[in-house]
Amino acid sequence: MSLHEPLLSIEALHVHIRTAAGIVQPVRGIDLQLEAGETLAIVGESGCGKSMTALAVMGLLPVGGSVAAGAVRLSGYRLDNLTESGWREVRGRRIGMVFQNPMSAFNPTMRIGEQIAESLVHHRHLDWDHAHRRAVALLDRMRIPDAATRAQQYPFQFSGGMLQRAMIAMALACGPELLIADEPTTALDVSVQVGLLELLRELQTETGLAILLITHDLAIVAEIAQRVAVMYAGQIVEQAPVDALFAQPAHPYTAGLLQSLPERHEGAGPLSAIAGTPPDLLQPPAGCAFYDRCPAALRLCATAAVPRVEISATQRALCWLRHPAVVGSGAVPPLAEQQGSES
Amino acid sequence: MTGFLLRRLLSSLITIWFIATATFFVMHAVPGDPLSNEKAVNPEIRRHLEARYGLDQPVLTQYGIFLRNMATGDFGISFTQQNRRVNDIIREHFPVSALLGVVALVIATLGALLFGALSAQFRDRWPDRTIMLSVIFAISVPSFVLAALAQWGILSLNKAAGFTVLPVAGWGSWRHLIVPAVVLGLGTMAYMTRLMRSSMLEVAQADYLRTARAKGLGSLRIFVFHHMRNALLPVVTVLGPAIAAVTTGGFVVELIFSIPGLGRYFVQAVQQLDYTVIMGTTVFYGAFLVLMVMLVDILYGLIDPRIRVGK
Ligand SMILES: Nc1ncnc2c1ncn2[C@@H]1O[C@H](COP(=O)(O)OP(=O)(O)OP(=O)(O)O)[C@@H](O)[C@H]1O
Ligand code: SF4
Ligand SMILES: [Mg+2]
Repeated sequence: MSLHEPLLSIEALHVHIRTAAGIVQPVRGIDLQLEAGETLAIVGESGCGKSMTALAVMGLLPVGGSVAAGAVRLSGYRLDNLTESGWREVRGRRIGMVFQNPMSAFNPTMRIGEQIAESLVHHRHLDWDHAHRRAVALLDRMRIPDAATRAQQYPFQFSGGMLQRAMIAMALACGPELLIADEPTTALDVSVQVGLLELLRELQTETGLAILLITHDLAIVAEIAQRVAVMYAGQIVEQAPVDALFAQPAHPYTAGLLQSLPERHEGAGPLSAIAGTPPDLLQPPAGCAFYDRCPAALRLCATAAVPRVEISATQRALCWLRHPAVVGSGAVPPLAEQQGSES
Repeated sequence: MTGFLLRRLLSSLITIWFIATATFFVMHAVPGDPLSNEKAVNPEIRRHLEARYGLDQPVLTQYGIFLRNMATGDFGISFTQQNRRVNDIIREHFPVSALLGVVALVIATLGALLFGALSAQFRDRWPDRTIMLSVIFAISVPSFVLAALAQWGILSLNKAAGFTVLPVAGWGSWRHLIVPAVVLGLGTMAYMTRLMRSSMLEVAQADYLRTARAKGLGSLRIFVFHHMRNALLPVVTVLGPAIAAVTTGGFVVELIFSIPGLGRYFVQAVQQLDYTVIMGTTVFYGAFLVLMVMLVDILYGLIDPRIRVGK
């Protein structure tokens, strides 16, 4: 073991889900490291495997799902082969999770306060009275007005934005080192989104919390994350610090995502979402998964397993275009020129 | 909540009035009248009797008298049992039916929760398959066949044991009660078991159950407060129909097991065209069921905060 262990380390992770139609592969060989106090964003369009990655880290894959290969470590300790009782020590206590849909993620027949307090009773062995007071304090910290009354209410009496904040309170109740937030701002209006992100940033400076933020919104990434991993069809196609990624995207898919951002959009035409659909994860292609939609595709991309290329010490991409053999041969023009010539 | 209760009470009263009215006019529509059963009644006596029971009055006047009597809780005097007031018949025999029904319902509910949860937990494995097969059997076999089977079973048991382990029929102790109660509750238990199973399976897929696991809670707490509690809601909604099923099922079971409950008297009254008893017990049963359904609604409100707090 090396001297320094990252807080979270995902190594060559493969997730399989057994279904009637066959084995779905929502995660196909992911490598990710997250340091304490850091915020890493995972972005990518719907269905690319973001949630499955998070659920694999929590050991909460759906029925039929399993970690087929690879490892997940927390401060060096293997998580993916834990027993149920081992998981109970990790979930809620060392990793808190905020789920994608706050409306359905709360138990409809239990008071919000109790849903927060029960973690404290279980992990911190507080008595219920004490735990309830802590729950109210947590809600208050999340800027939920009149927290004491709110704690006595049920999920259906909360608005979406308030539920989202209550869920963060719930996830942070036992002071975890890592927060996994799956699309914490979808379905919220912009002003609420901004408030929530500010709150997360505040909490982070206060407690040294690490955040794994899952989103499909690059604007949010720019707002809060230090590093970004771009996911496509179960793989991380590019990983870089936020600035580098926005300034010099190395992967055509990242470039396409950036182009579809409203503020980068030039001219009067409609926003250019990337045309086409991702491949079937039941039978992932042998070559590049982005081949069908890639404006810069080479012939070898269709069949040859794509290499991972180190662009710099902190940036890497999964693309043939950046491979030294291709770049050195002069067979292809640089990315920008090629895209320009097409329009 | 108070408004909800008042509205519920009002609609219950209207329903009871409707049941009473329907009973009255249906009884008037059946051919013959209460006295035509007696052979060759002397016309004078007949007139006398008609006057006594108000049968010489116009229908609407009779209806008015009937409603007034019902409202004051006076169900009249039996035609076939000398000098017995219908109120007394109800007072004497309803507790027997109620005891049988309550025990049947408790057995049915507890059994359904247990078997439903078990079969969901062991989905598609042998406990599930065994339970679901029994459920189909219990739902499809009518209760009088079940009752006959049970009596045959008791007889064989007693013969094998050489003494009376359980009485075949009659009333008086818990040993008389237990088999009829199981027979009476079995269909309801089967129906509720199936509901409980699908409800447990549905909640097992719910996002909030995953949230509970993501908090690292103990499995008992997750099972009781997150899984069971929510899975119970649909089961509580069928308690009303379940009470109705057990009440009406009691008619047959009381008859077969010779249990002196109100159900047996009701069936007898129908056979003998005992008008006052039929009308009195029908209205009584109707009111009882309406009241029970109302109580179930209130119970549901207590369990589901979306109804309790929302209203
Ligand atoms: N229970 C399941 N059984 C089979 N396949 C599943 C299941 N859940 C998800 N998948 C598949 O796994 C893939 C990845 O799903 P995932 O939920 O991780 O996507 P996502 O990136 O989180 O998308 P979104 O932005 O819509 O939340 C999808 O293609 C989906 O079809
Ligand atoms: S490997 Fe080829 S197809 Fe895939 S993104 Fe790079 S250039 Fe496009
Ligand atoms: Mg998702």
